Amino acid sequence: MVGAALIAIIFVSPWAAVLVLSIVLILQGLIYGDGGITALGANIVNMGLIGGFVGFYGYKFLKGIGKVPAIFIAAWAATFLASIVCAIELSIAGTFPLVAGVTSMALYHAVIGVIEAVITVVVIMGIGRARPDLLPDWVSSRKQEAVE
Amino acid sequence: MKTTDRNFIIGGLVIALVIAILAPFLASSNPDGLESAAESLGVPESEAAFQSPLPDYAIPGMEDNPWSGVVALIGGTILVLLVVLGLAKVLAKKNDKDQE
Repeated sequence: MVGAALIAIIFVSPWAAVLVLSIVLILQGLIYGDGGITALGANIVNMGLIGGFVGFYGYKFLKGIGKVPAIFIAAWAATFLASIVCAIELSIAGTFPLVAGVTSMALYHAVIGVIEAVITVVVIMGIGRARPDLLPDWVSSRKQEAVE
Repeated sequence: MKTTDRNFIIGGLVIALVIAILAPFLASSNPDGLESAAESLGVPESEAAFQSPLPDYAIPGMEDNPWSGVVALIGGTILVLLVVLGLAKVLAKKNDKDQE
């Protein structure tokens, strides 16, 4: 679970995802040695910036097809595209070969993205049940129905 | 802070703590996506440039004891909450000033 799409959709801003992921990745690198300090910039760009923007604009352009499928695809695409960009960066750094690296990362994250998508949908639906007033208009089904 | 908002944060914290307690027992020990890709490409893991206090989400020397993971994760959960609450307070104050 990365959560960038989730945050970008709930806060109606891709930058919210950059802020939250920055905090998470800094603490994760400093305390747990996961992700690390030298890769911090790349991690924030990939998971925060790309994850947040793909999640935000993916949902924005897809929400016409229905909110749940739009959230699902946006969260999946955020994970999938971030992994491809990560593989390209690793090939520029000379760590991964380009084609094999992108293929391998894309295949693994096509599956991981499904888990990310399911959790993203479940969390947004859960907030919608517990505190519908916290959801913004573009995901809140309650306000939408009232207008219709 | 409104009571309903406080309860929402407490609810979120409880969910996070339940995950922190269960994760060391339930989490898959298989490598994640990046590690799997690196393994299938034969890319070795490089030496860490910085030694973190709780490497790999466990207390050093107690890696095999899942409860050391529980302690590490609860500490991290609370730390993230405190950092975010602190940051939110500071930024909210700054926003108020900007709007005046």
